[in-house]
Amino acid sequence: MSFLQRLFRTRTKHADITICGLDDAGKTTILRFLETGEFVDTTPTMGVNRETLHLPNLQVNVFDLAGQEDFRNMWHNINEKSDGIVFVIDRSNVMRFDEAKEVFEQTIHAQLDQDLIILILLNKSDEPNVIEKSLFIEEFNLLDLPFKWAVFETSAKTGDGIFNSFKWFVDEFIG
Amino acid sequence: MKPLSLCLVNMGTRGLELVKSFPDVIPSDSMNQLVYKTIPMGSNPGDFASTTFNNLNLTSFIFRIPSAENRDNLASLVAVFNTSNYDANSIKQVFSWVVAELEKKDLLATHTLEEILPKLYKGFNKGQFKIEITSTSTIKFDFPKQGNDKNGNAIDALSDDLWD
Amino acid sequence: MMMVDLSLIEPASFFIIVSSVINMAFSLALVITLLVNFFRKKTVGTFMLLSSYFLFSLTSAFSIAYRISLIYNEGVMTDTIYQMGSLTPMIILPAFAFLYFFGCRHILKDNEIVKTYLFAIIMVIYGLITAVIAYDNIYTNSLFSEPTYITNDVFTISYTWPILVAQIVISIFVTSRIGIRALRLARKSDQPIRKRGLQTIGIGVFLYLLAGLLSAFDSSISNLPALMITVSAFRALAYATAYVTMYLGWVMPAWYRKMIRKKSWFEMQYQQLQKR
Repeated sequence: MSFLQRLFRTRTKHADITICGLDDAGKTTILRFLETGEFVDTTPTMGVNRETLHLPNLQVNVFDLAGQEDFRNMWHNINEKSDGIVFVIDRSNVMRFDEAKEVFEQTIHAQLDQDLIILILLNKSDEPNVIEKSLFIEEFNLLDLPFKWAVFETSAKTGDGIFNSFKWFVDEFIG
Repeated sequence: MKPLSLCLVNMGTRGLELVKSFPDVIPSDSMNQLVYKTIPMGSNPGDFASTTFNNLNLTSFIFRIPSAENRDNLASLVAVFNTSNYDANSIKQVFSWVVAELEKKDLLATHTLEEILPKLYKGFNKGQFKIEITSTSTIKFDFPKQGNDKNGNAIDALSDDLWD
Repeated sequence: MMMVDLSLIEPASFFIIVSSVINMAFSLALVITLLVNFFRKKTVGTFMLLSSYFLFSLTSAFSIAYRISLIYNEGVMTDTIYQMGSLTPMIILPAFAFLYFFGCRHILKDNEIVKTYLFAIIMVIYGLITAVIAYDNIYTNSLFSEPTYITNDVFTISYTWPILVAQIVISIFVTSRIGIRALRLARKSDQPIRKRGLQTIGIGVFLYLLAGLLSAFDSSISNLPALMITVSAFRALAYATAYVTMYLGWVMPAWYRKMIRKKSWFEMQYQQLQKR
């Protein structure tokens, strides 16, 4: 019986990840870049977009959540079931850093799973006057985070950093 | 086919918000629910939605409003009825046609839609409309007797029956 | 129990029986997958398809039983064997009726008048066939007395042909229309999975029609063994391919969908990196 079970058991792992962040941070554009490999103009997300990535031995279900205030209440329902969180920040929008920090902290503090993996994307790196990565890590107190995390500089317009960031994420899941 | 009201909804900074309704006859508590019913979760530009709540029936067309400076916005044109006895396909055809015409003339913007909403409402009552948007741009429409995408329906139904 | 002396079987008959048994296995596999799909979906459409292919499968079973009994009886046609052979057209017509009504649900655009007339025509033909077979059985008196030994005489041929022609006409009418319309809908569909599903249905249905026509042709050239064996080989191949294609089209298993689905940019990049 155990031989048959081993024979037919699927070796593909499953992981659910959510992409969060303020509205207009570029969450859906990143998701579309993962899908098509090019910059795609998007509209605000209505609730949630879902995409599945089929990788060798890993199937990743990506949930892209709407960033508007009214939708943030539903984030924790999806986040609490997810194995990893991608938090996207528009690094060129200095005016909304405090709001982004508050939302990031709320999101992180609501997590109970200690094995959660967090990927932070400093998006819109192609824009001028962006926050420095080191300064961002300090501002967002990332060094005190009790989870495994990484920060990548990305641009969903040029594609810079998108592959490397998600590769790190996927490799962490595969172990 | 006389709707109770026509509404324009779009995505604001907080979430979905009503831009305008004409005539403004829907109670505010129903209106708060209505805005979220017009663009259901997971919907994308080009989708249609029909639903019933609080004895109101509505059909909406979801579309993209282009923007030169920021990213494009998501909006919906909504026809609200107090009866379920209306032809949703005609509504879909009118809304998609109006949006396509405005887009073709580079006039698809929230303020344009706000302006034409009363004329569109009157057009629904008469069965045809002619709207002068600018001194050089006019859109004219005769309501169809019937119109539905039989191929699309057939594929959806087959897929539902066998595969999905 | 009497055993059949295999040396008595002609190579042509042996080949035909073996190929028919293989086809039967394919057909049974399709019926089982349709049954599983029916339990999963529990829709009228899946039930109609299941019924249709179950009946098609039953005709294959009867046809094999017919051939084996004939060999077992050393080529002598008894009433029982004869009646077994006559059951095939009685089963195949309802099978086509189920397929047609399944087609009418979404694929075909026939209106109520066409549907009613077509159903009436199928029922009239079905009634006529039943009446002729019943008359024949009473005429040969096999139901009421000891079996009489008969051969393929003039009387048998005289009504076998019209029945065969009716079957061919109905099968072409139903399957070719479903096939053409499925291919047309495939052309109009934007979604890759649905597009490929409809294309597969179209191809499968046409292959099945081709196999059916080869079967009809094959039964009319029984006096030319060399040609018959060639036609049978093609028929067997057409049936096997048709069953596999129809399984893919009607059921669309997950692995097939996965194969059709376009890989995302990230998946392609990731896999390329792994290959290096």
